Amino acid sequence: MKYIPRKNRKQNTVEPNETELNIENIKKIFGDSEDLVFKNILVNNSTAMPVTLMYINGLANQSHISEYVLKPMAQDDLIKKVNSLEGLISLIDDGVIYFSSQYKTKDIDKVISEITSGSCAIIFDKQNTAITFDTKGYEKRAITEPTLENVSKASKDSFVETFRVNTSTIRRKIRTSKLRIDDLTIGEQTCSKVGIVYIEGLTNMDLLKEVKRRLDSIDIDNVLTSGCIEEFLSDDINCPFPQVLSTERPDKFCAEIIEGRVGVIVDGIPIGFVLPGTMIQFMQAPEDYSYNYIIATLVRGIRNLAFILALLLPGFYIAITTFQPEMMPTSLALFIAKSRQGVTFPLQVETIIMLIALELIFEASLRIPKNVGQAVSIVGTLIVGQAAVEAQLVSPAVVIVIAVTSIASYAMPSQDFSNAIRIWRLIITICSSILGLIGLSLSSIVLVYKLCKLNSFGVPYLAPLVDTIKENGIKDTILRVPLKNNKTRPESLRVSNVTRQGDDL
Amino acid sequence: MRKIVSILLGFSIFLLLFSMVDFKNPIVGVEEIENTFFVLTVGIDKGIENKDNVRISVLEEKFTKTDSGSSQKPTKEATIRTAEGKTTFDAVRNLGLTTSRKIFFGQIKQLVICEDLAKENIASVIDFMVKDHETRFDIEILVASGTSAEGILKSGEKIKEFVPDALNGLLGSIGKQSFSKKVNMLELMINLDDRDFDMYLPIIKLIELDDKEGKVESSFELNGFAVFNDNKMIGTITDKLARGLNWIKDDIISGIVVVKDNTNSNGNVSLEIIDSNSNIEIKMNGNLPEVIINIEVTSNIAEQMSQQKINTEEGIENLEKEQLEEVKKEAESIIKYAQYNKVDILGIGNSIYHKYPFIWEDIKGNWKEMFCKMNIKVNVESRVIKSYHVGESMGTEEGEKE
Repeated sequence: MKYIPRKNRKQNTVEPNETELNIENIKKIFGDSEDLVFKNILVNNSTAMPVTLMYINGLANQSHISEYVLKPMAQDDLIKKVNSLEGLISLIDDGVIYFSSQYKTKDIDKVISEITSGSCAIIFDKQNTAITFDTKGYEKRAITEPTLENVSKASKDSFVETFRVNTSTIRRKIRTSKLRIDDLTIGEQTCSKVGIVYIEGLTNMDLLKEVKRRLDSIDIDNVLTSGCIEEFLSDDINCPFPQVLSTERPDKFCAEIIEGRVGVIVDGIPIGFVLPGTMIQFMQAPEDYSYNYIIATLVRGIRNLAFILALLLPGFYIAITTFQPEMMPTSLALFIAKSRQGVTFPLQVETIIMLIALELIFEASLRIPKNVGQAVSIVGTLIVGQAAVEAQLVSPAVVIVIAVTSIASYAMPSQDFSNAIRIWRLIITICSSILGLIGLSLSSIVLVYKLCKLNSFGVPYLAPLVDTIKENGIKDTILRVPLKNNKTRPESLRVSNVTRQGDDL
Repeated sequence: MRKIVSILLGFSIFLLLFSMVDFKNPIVGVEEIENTFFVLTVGIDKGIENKDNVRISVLEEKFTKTDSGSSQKPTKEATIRTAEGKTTFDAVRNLGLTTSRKIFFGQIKQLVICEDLAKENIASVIDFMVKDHETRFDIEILVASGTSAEGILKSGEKIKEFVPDALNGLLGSIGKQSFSKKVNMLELMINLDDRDFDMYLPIIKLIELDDKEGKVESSFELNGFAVFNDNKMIGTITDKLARGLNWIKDDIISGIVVVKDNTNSNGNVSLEIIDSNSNIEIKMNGNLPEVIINIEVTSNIAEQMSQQKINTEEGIENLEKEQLEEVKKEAESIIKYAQYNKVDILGIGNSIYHKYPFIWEDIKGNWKEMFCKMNIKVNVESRVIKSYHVGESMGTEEGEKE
């Protein structure tokens, strides 16, 4: 399919014969919705000067409309002297009605999109002109602490559903005048506003162009969930590993923008997206930079260990117990053999059953209402942890293995990443239960191959571990070197300004 | 088209694999861990009735259920299975008839071989243990002296200890006096393949301890070596004689050298060996090799039984001289033993081979004869250091102290 820029595409909301801006057409387009308000006003009480005020009840702030739009129209001395509508339009355009954000247009599309986003419009029917005033006044959620990502020793604000609040949050964190927020609209029905955040003179312009191209090519009816954006921006959607970093923490979002990535925010979704996503990002937390570098390196090491445990432990357990028992220390082998005396199922079946039980508990605890949430953990602990062991349905050893695995997967900073691990854990476990350690190695090789092959916006998914020869590769990945030693931005992003510290910032 | 081809290809591969699956036993190589007989110690003996047979005994830890309430640590108990066969492998397969579980050799810790078998040919029974895919090369090898290997395995009741743990403990503390040395399967294999080198293996004995109440208790004793001429055991060496071998082979870990505090006195001083090095120096005198064994020993004054003042320059010098004599005596005694029995356990042939491989080709055939008549010199460099405060011994009068 040939790519057509969105601007040149036919707009669906407006029929060809309704392109003229007048009351009749607007009424036709909106139908008779109950929340639509039309108010006819005769300016200076003269029948020669009828105008129509229009807004959507609930979206616009009514007291703002009366106070700042209607009141000047009725009381201003200059307006009283006007006797034609043309004169009125030019007066308002010149700022007689003192409103900071007003806009004169003859385009019916523009008027409609302004009205649906909460503005009010004064429509001059005969002149086919409208002036819109930004009187948004709908209910919005206050900025609260992030709920999905825990914060310690970092800023505690989070993104909210309102687009403008989010852009202001970002502006407050990145005050440089070079910060750019380009916007476009996605979603045939929802018409959601999407902002592309980057820094002029720092971000790689090719990356930006590609992000814009992909966002532009999205032709979908709604953008109500984050998946709508993520899926269209991912290079390989058949790979469960996330390729778009999504975060509800503005500090994390801004740190990535400053590193040279491109951010995307969507009206109505309290999440910021960062492109391109690489594996290392999902393993890191902003807190790494707020602790001493030695501790942060240690924590990263533990996180890497958790990644390996969450991925391989059940498979490894099956492989060494049923295929290669000589790999275990003798006392451990005897302990496991002892603990399995009288257990009904074979070890592989037992482990896979427990893995599925773990997924069940995980899913149930996510869906259950908060006030009965404790029930899941009680049932999970009592039934799986104790009763199943006492009834000899499962052995204590496998309970320990599964417990360690689940704790390790909770240690991942990104939920998306931990979900990808869940899928691969199951694959590796099944391969190991058929071929032992060989199956474990084969499936791990396939995983590494898949990850090596994966690209996100032309950046290797395993960057900077695979694409740099210099020591920069491990400076801020496996290690966390002191900040003064880490003076450059990631090589793989090909940013316009590489230095983070020093003279040519 | 490509999609259809790939679907067909995938389906046919699936069918092919599906037809290969043996549904009675779908996964190959699987062994449930609870149905595995984890052999910890193996004993190899001669057959009881038919002396040509091989008798093999295996030991594992018995699974005992303990009451969850009791705080008492459960004592380990052993399960022992024994079988005979014409060969080792035959016997091992016969073992399988005695238990419902799969006998697994991947976790063996010790291998005990009885003296009678060692005296015939040790290589013949070891061959299976080396070739089997389950056994590992870090198995410790022991020769049972005075009792059968099965006797060692079954002595758990007598020594009131779990046999593999007891053997492991003894092997761990072998360096206390350095009267013996650990030899594992890998070293044994290398030694067996090296025809010019006669090997030695540690000896394990079951000794009886006197008991007041008339009950006889036993204990293991790990002391000395079984000395082999080629593959056949010819005798045993113990105590100082065995340590002499360790001095020459640089296998001393620690130990006590007891010397006199003064040439005229009878008070004993214990010197604790803290460091020892040795090397075999070969010089060619025409076609005749000259061998010098250099031993370096450093020790510490650990105990003094007399009240003699030894913390002086002359005193220390005297101790060093005494130590030198003692070590030299131990080393020379084993050289004498080796030359008398015509066994090159010292590895001198090996040293010559490595330094003069061409000359070695000439003297190889006549080596044993040459070895017995050879003049082997021993040089000992002895040092006594006072790594901690020595001062005077207990019982020295206050006034005599400095």
